[in-house]
Amino acid sequence: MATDQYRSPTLISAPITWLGATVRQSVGEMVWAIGFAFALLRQSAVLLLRRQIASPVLVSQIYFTGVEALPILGVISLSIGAAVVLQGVSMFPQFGQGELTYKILILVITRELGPLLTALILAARSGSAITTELGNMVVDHEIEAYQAVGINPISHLAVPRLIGVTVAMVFLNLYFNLFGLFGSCLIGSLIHGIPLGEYLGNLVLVISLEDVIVAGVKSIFFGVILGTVATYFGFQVDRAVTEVPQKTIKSLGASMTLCVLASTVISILFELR
Amino acid sequence: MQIALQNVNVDLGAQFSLKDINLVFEPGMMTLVLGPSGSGVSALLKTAAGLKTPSAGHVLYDGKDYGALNDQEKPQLQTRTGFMFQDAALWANLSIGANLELPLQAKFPRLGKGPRRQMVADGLAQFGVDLDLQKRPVDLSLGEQKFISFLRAVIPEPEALFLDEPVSWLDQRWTDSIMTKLEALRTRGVVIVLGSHNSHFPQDRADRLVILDQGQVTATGSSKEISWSLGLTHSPLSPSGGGVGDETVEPQ
Repeated sequence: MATDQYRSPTLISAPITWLGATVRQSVGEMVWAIGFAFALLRQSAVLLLRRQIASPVLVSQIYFTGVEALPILGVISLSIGAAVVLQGVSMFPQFGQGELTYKILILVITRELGPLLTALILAARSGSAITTELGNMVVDHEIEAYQAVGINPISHLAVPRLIGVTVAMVFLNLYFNLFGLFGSCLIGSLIHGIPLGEYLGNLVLVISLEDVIVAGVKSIFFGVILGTVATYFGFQVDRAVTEVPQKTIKSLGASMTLCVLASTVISILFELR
Repeated sequence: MQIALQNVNVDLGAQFSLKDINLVFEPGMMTLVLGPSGSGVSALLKTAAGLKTPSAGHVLYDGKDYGALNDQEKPQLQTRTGFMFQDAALWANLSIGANLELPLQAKFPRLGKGPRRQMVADGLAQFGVDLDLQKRPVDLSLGEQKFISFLRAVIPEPEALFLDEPVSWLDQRWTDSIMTKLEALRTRGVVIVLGSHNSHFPQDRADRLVILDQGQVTATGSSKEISWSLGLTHSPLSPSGGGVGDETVEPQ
């Protein structure tokens, strides 16, 4: 009897206690993350206005994120552009909607898949690299060493990375568009014998200013998300080197999820406009 | 600069923490904090240097509460102190030259590249160090890294200097160089706080010893006072000395 009396409340209270602790921890982490994001964005704005960005860090970040990603992004964008035009040219004319190929191409390459795929590739390449690098710096006390000499690690390490990733994201998205449309153009003229002039003329006819603005807005938002999430999880490493891969995986998952959500929200907002 | 720790508690997770620390570090005083591994020596130094936030209590710099300073004031204060980390903690992606120049850049933002490099060259020449400044930390031995870490802390001429295990991995020549430099800094009124787990550390050179055990100060005083208080003929931390004592020479 006494045992039953002891067990009953434990069986009920244990999951509630666990749930409460989990919710409290999650809310605490979320508040901390939002605080970090605001501090980082505020610091970025201040340092940009004052032109006090640590330029060596910024330049190396743009080089690593932007320049070194060109080959892989080129191959992917060419392939996507080619795939869209192959499917579109063989399918739409059957329904008497041949001109839809160009609209779909712009929709896929410029508005939706271009920015998103570029962001996902950058999250996998640069986002994870930033988290790993900062995490290792925490473990090796390098971040504390910056604080010890009076250098704010957010200003010196996170801000240039955020700006570097955002700048690289915008230019890589442009590059993705050019290569994607060029790839579709190449396949269109090689396989289906569409004249180059006609092809490009049709593309120019269907592309609108709104398509370009949507792509630009998305790439800026994705860049900010990638930079913020990667640096946040890097600084989240506490003391053990085993935390570095764990935080890197979390950083990658969070970046991808937030980019997909942001992409959907931006698309909806432009559709509702 | 005077640094005071008032009723400081630091929560360092489940393993250990600092409890009710009350210490004052005066200008021109060399204090050696001694304690076995895990006793909180590094944590005490980092808390006093403003690198760890106390869960309770205050760290005062010339009477000003460090915790009450804003985001601009904290880094400015940090440029007036120097910290040598136990594991060197050099910036791995920077050259040795850049490692030594960056603290100067932070402390003297208007100082040009030329004078900065001259200060680094002077600092190296003072110790007779001849190193290729283009090398990365990974190209150096642990001892060399440690010495560069010491130079990084000392070259900007700090008003307070915190050195965690300053002579580990160093040969006798560099140990002597460091101790001689510390003597010179002490006479110039620099606050010097050394931390060590090693009972063979030259304790007689320090003005005051602080014995730390399980995050608590168990004794303070000169090496002789502590030995006498504990009824020891040996160093308070030497194996034959019986370990860290329970008595306190100066009540905390």
